[in-house]
Amino acid sequence: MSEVEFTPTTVAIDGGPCEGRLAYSGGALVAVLTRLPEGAAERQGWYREAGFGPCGDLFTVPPAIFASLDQARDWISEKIAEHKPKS
Amino acid sequence: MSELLIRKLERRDLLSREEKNVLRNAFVRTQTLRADEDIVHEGDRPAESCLLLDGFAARYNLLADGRRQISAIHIAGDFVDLHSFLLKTMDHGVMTLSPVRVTFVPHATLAQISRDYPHLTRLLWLSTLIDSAIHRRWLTVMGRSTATAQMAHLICELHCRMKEIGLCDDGAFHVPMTQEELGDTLGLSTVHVNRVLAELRNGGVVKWQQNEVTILDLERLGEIGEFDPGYLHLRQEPR
Repeated sequence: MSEVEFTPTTVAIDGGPCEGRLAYSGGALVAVLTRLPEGAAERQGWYREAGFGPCGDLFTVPPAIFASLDQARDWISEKIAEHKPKS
Repeated sequence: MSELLIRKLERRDLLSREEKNVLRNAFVRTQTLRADEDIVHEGDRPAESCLLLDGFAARYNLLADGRRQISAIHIAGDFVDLHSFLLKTMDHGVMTLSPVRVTFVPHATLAQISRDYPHLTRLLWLSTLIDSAIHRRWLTVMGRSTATAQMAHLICELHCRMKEIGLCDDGAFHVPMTQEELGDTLGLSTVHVNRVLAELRNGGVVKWQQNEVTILDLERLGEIGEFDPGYLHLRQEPR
């Protein structure tokens, strides 16, 4: 499992600033997550606003909303593991 | 039964009394379906084509992982699979978005019409060409516009088409689609559908709430979506 670290941030989504997390793996930014405000979607949770490298749209299908940050972490680790060069 | 279809065709070219009667007698049975049912499945080889009498339907394809892309929205008076007459095998499914009433024309009858009524045949051909024109426009808009412009364009198109069949009341009309279905139509996540609709609502342009669409500023909506109804080919002329 790759180490994933979250740094709190604020993201200027449409409709106003929103609580967010920058997700890093090995010191590189791999995703930006936002917490969906109440009423913003049918489901509450964390949304992958942007992804990079293994978590970006070139390599992965945009995921559903994550119920928790732990779920987001699992998804990010899985994507990174899938794209690790085979040794 | 086929009056809405006749009305639609006559927006593009006049039909003779005989041609109208041929259409009226072409349909053989009526069926009622609930929302979220398949009218035809991908891979089916139907022996008849389906005309939507009321309600809403969508053409769709499924991807290997179960995700869905809606490639057309159909409203009352639309043929949902006239092309199955010649394509034979359905390369997509057609599902209901709301409860619907549908009626069917046997392919044998279409073969007879194409033999005996060349002008009516051309107008039926035209209706499949307009379907393709709509596909081309969707492709262009979805490939090259912002999510907000895509939504604005879709609403403008639905507005035009609902007006054409007399189901639009002063910029307000009914569209029974969930945000998930809208996302599957525009290739957006439900989160983005929600944000785009909120932006259009907060900007005083259009409200889409509980299946009711109310256009507040049609001119602005058209500007945002860069909407030009030319591709719907609404001019009546000899064809």
